[in-house]
Amino acid sequence: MISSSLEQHRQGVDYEEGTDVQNLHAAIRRDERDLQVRIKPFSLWVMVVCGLTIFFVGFCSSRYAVNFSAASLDSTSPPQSELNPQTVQSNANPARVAQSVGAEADTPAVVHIVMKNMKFDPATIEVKSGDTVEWTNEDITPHTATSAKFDSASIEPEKSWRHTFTEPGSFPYNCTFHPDMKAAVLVK
Amino acid sequence: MMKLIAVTAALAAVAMLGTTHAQTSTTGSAPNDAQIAMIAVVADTVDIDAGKMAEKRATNKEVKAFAETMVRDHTAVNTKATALAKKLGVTPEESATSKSLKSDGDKEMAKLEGMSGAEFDKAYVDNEVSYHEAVIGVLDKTLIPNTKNAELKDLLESARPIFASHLEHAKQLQKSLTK
Ligand SMILES: [Cu+2]
Repeated sequence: MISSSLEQHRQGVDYEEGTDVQNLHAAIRRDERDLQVRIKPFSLWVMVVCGLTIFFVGFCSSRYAVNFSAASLDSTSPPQSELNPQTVQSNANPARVAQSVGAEADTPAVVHIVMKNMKFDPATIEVKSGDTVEWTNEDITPHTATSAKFDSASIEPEKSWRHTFTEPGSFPYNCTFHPDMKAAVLVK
Repeated sequence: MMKLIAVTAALAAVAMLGTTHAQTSTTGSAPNDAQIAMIAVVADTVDIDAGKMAEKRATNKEVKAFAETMVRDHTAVNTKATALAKKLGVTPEESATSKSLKSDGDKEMAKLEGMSGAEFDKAYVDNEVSYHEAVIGVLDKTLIPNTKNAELKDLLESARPIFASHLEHAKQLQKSLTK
């Protein structure tokens, strides 16, 4: 008796539960439909955002590349406080940055000069006594860095040559192959 | 999905660049890349040949040094150009421009052949001035604007300052020789 009524009860409950579950399923399906509708414009947004991101990354990296190469030619970028009246006309900002770093740490610095498009860049740099200057040939023809006090001899394309300056003074130098290529190192 | 978007965006960007590039480089009987490569190689070779003759025959020390630079630099450019043509699978092709460069070069060599001493130095330097002026003109007006391949264009653009430097160098010598 008890068991049968329990059975009935349970069946009833089961039945009721069954309808509830069905309702729930229906509700979930509805929600899914709504969700799908909502997902579609959302995926469009993803596409737009991704597209813009890719465009911006490309744009910024190309801008950065332009700025970077322009910076090595631009004399306006170093902080004003570092500008020395004697070297205002020089376009030696990377060197000056290296110099100031070296000065702060009080250790010899390596200052880089490139030979590119038949020019020394930067054409004038200021270094401390004890600093090393490294010339790197980025042209397709050989060059030299030659003065009364030092001579690299031929520096082949993609090769470098170093010289350490141990006495203060002004060291004008040129490329013996291309007399128009003139530059100077000022050692403080 | 992300990949698809990235690829689509990249293709769109390339297509945009492509159309702007195409607009700037379509003219009637412009030389193709194979002809441009040949013109560059012949232009270099003509100057290397004259330079080799001047290395031996020039009496002025600075003219001799200039000739050495011509041989060194034009050989470097030629080595690059030849290697690039090979890499790109381009066989340099003769054209009216390359032929006239070669025949003018041959004529100049024949003229220099009969000279010596200061007369040779002056004639060689005078010719180097006009030759480099002419080559820079061809580079700017014909070769660089018509080159389709980016690497070949790059090479020609990096050769330009070399020729400009040689022109200045030759002009300096010309001045010092007429003093
Ligand atoms: Cu040089």
